[in-house]
Amino acid sequence: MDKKILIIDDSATVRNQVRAALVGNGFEILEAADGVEGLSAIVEQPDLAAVVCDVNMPRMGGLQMLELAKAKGLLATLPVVMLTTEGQPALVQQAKALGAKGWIVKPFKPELLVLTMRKLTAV
Amino acid sequence: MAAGGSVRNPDNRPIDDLVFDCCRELFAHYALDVLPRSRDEFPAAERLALCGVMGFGGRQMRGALVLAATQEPLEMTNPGGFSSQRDWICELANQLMGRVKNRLLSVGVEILLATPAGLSGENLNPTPGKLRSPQVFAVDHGFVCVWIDCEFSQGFELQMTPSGGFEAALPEGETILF
Repeated sequence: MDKKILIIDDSATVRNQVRAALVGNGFEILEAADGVEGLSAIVEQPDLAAVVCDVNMPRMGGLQMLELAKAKGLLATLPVVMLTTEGQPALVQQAKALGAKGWIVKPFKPELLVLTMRKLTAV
Repeated sequence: MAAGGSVRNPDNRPIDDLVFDCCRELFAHYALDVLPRSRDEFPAAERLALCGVMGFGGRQMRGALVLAATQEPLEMTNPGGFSSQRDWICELANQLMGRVKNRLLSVGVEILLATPAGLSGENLNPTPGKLRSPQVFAVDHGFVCVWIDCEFSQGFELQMTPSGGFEAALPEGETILF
């Protein structure tokens, strides 16, 4: 059975590129366009295997969403990987402290995204 | 006109060198070799399909980066035709400015990025001779143009690293697992 991955990004093109990379490689994709939608999806989908999340988004950014998800205890078994144009070490450290499991600077390499998701969702 | 130093950075500004390199690297990631051209080859405004604008600001510098393209490079870099071309030019501008930002970190310059805005070509009518340092690149039957309009804080001068370039704080595309 395919594992469910949530991609949170305000760019529909990026969401579709992530979908194209992962579907057919053992993953099913759910989408959210910002942190508000993303947080709702995490709450409503307890069977998520992992989350791929942008940092800079309108309404609510990825790090703020991560902070709220952590406070609600939603990240205990849910790996989150940040996928962003940001490469600032302070932001990377902040994400790590908030419970993220990885960081990818855009543009991503599809084959590496697949490997990362397989590694993080391996039981 | 052949690619070369004469079209790379006529104004001799380090920021233009940086944008030039980042633009070529970004399109190379999408398997598109964009070749530098003279500013005289700046395409007519009606040929520019869309442009993405990224505002940015920080203690040392502030301004905006504009990435404009004709139809062809937008289609060639997004062969799946995923979503709208406006969304795609915005994301390309975002990725280009992100790349610039990550290299500026290597020389101690920190900037914050706004979310990208898209404009359709008919709403853009630049006067190439008056634009500040436009970089023009050609692809098969199309063009990519990029320019950065920025000001520096008083007394600040952007300089390259001792190695003669700008290095990314983190490599694009690689995964860092915690």
